[in-house]
Amino acid sequence: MNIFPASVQQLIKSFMYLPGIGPKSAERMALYLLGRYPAKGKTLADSLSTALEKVSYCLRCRHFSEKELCVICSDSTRDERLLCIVETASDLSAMEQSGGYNGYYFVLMGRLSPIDGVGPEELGLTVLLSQLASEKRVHEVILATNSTIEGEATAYFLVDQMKTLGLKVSRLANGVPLGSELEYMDKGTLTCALDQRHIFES
Amino acid sequence: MDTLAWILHVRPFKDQCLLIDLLTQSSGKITGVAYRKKKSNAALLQPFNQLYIHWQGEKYLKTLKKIEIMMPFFLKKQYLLAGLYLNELLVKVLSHTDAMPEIWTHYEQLMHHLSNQLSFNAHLRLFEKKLLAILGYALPLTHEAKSNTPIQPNAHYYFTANEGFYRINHATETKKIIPGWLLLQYHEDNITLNIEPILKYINQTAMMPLLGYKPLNSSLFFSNKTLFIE
Ligand SMILES: [Zn+2]
Repeated sequence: MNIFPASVQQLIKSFMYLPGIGPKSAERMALYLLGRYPAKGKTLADSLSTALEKVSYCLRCRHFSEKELCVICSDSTRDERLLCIVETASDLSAMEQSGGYNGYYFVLMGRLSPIDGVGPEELGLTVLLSQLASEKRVHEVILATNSTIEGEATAYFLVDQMKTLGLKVSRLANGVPLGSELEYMDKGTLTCALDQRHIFES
Repeated sequence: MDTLAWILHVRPFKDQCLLIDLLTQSSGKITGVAYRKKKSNAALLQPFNQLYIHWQGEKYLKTLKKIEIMMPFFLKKQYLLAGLYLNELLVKVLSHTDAMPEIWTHYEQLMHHLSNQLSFNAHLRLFEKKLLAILGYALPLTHEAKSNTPIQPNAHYYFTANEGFYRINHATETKKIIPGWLLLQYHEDNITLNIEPILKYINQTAMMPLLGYKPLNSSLFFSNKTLFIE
């Protein structure tokens, strides 16, 4: 016998859709909102349904947007010569928070993964390449796909496709994390850091 | 069980876990589960790494208890794409069966090859040929299908999967024409650059029944490239 009414059971189940949330945490969340903060619960429900209704993807960069063009693509103060390609909107957000980049983006919403059936079409590459070819504003494409096998394969695939467009293509460097000690670094990262070492000037 | 293993493919599984296809030295292909959250696992659990693993479980899905890296392989450019092709092939054609020491050895050789950025097309074709033989689909390169007549160097043949090579008697036949000398040369494992594209055609046709008549995705993805697949 379940001690909760059907609607509460359903709410608990729904919280379990979230990553990292099991039945215990889901129950705690549901009871927290229902029992102690119904007003907050209402706000949560409203903002979720509004967002689901309004948000779709930017036509240019595939970032989340309520309009045809997202906030970033409509910002004309950015450097239009730079285009950064990322796997997900979370990666875009991380790049933005780094504060070191002021160009535009393209969100792949995934990475090339032959075994899983994700190909160039699913990543919007046809759209991207025809944009780059027709507009000719971008001078440098920065490949910021993850440093995983699939991210790396995606980067190689893109470089190859862009060769013909005469663009400068760069890739984020792999290296020693800030504040870390070599002794504890994994061998792979250390090898990459050595490969990508740069001239150190006084 | 302790064994050496190559990672073939990794995908997210439930919230906290990764589902990993491995080629192991002791037990052929296995599928195991590992925790994703452990930070040390992120760099280890990538395709092309050779690992030392300890796993538990009798059934289809094993639990990976201990994972240590033996040898990281860094594949780049077309060598990386070739590696992905190889892994997709193994994930799709191998069932969870016993150890296949030959496959293990050849895979290891190919990995060395790819990480050293050596030309690999001929080696890929030989790997496919060995794989076909091990899986019971050996190419009958010395004798004709049905009639069992020896292949003649100067005659021409066409290939049908599951059956073999048939002699072409009329010039009008539309099938891909394969000269007899090429088959005999392939039988000797002697792969030269000029015959490699035809061998690719033969291997791919022969593998179709094993792949459920669906070409590998990696060959579709890279098909517009000149790198390694037509
Ligand atoms: Zn946009």
